[in-house]
Amino acid sequence: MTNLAIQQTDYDAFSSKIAAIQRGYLPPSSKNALNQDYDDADAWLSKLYINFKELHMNYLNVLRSKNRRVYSKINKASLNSFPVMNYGTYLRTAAIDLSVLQYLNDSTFDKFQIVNLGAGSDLRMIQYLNMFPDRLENFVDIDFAEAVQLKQGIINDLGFKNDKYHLLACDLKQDIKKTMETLESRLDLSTPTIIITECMLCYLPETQSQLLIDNCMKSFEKGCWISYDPIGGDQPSDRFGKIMKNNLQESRGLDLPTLLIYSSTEKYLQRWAADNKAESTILDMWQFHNKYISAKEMARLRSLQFLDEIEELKLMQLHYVILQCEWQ
Amino acid sequence: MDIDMDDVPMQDAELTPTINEETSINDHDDFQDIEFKPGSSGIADNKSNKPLELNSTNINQLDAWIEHLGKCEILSEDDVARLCKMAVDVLQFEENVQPVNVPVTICGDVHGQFHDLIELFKIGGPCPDTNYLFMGDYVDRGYYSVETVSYLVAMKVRYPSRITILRGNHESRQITQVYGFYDECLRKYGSANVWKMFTDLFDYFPITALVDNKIFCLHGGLSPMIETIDQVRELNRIQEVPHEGPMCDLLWSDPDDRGGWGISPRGAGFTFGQDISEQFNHTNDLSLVARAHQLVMEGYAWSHQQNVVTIFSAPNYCYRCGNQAAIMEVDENNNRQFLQYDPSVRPGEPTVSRKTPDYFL
Repeated sequence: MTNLAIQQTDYDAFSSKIAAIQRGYLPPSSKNALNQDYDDADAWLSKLYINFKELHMNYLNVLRSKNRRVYSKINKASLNSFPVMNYGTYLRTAAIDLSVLQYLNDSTFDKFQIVNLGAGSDLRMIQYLNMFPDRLENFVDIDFAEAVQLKQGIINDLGFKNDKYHLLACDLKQDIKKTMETLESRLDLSTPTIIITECMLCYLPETQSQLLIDNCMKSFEKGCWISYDPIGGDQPSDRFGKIMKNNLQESRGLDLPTLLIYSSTEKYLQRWAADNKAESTILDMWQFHNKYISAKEMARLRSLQFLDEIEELKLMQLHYVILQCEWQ
Repeated sequence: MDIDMDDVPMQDAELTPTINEETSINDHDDFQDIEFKPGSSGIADNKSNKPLELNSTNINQLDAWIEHLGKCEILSEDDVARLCKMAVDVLQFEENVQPVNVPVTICGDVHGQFHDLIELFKIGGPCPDTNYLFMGDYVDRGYYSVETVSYLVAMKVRYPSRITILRGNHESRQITQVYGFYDECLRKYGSANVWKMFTDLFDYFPITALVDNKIFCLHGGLSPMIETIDQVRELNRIQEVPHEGPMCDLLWSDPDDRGGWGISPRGAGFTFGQDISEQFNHTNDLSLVARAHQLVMEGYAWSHQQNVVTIFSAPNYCYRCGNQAAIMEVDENNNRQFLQYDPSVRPGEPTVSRKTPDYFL
């Protein structure tokens, strides 16, 4: 599999996000997006999404002047996004941020750092550095060299500069030692560290994904791993994963080496369970949707476009997971 | 926003809709930007006052179209106009509750999966040897909505008493602008004319059918404003699918485990419980409500203690869902049998022209 096939998934993710923004799905409502039980998180979430739309649209505009080809791809895809994709992008975005904020909300520590592995065009660094100017010590984005170069150029033009932000090039499929050296060059191993992998581990071979998890959890004294990925499904009649793997392999040479290995929430979780002091929770995204998103917010989302595919939405969300694993 | 065609690689360019003012929509509301006036295609301007009579000339014409479409090739825009005009003169004389005799094979959503429709006719037997009743959703989502709906309409005009085609919630101007049929028409014809013709034709499709007075067939489900089948007969169906009201509900509602009426998560129609289905079947002396509209993994699913059956005939829906498809045969003695099938193998179809189904990546 070429790095290019993996790198191009960033355009899918970013165009989906742009589509969800343009259709009004993202950002979530500034009040009561979440069920009543999560009022604290709800307040934090709304703070995190201040200027969310402007931020992303500005980034897209600068991208247009930097790389017309990538811009065209993203723009075209964002115009043709179906409601089921817009819903899923909303859920994915909210799930990761909610996991980060809940970890911080429950914590007793002050300073922390965030690492986004395979960050691509993700702009969380700006959101989080704005929201936690004092507590957040370091924010590291890691991606392929080409992706890093493009992103650096865009954020320079946007005027975003922060000494705590480090945009680093590293191929996460390569030697784990190199990855760890890259991380350790800018991060303090004793500071609580949030590691985000959003559709990243699914592109790694089984051994490398396990090595990455083991080494990070061993090197960083304390932290929280937040991961969003597809799972293949493990019921005998469930063909979703097999078809997904074939579709992506056939049409764009993209391989998902562990999709059918870590095929259920239980199996996905196993990679973090080796550390018996770690505490993990995992939800499939349909469970996440039912647990967290308020009826009021669902009504708002429904009003944006006819969702003619509730069964399809459910089927897809059952095949994606959000994992949170705390260790110390 | 503009789209920079020069920068798009060739294989992508084939999938890019023809760029004109109408496709450059980038707004919250899909519907306000595109001008659509029901009837503007002109296909119903010279309606006949009696049903279309088949003669050797138009039979030859239809047979040639059917053969052409059977190879998954589109008709010319002029031929679509001719076909739609003929279809208006067939469909305008059908009833809101179109009576259908047994034996008949009842089918659910097809959604532009043309090759799977051909598979369906292999499984169920060729039309007109087998009678068919389709319960809507011919367009959107799949890549061959134009071919699929053209083929079914041509079959309807050619064999009007052998095949019945009901209207689904996707046979609508609004929905097709979100879910693909509009874009596909632009891409394949370079303008919205064909989309206008077909969506004008959809207004004439019957909305329900009654098989042997025992099985009530429709796309979605029941409506709190409809207690008797006679009330369906009184509706004025020749219009765009409304946002609410009985006609909307018949095309949008879903059965649910909860009793009574409920709010639909789809944003249109209602959910209805077993109590509602039992009462409706009792009141109207029915044995069954057959409907489509929902993806079901086995291709068919019973609900409400066999008062309602869902039939879905698009296997591996959206080339992604991994579901089986099914059709329901009803014989002369009203015995029912389900036939399940998987996606057709498509050796002839070039993979480069196939867009990857959407995933979160």
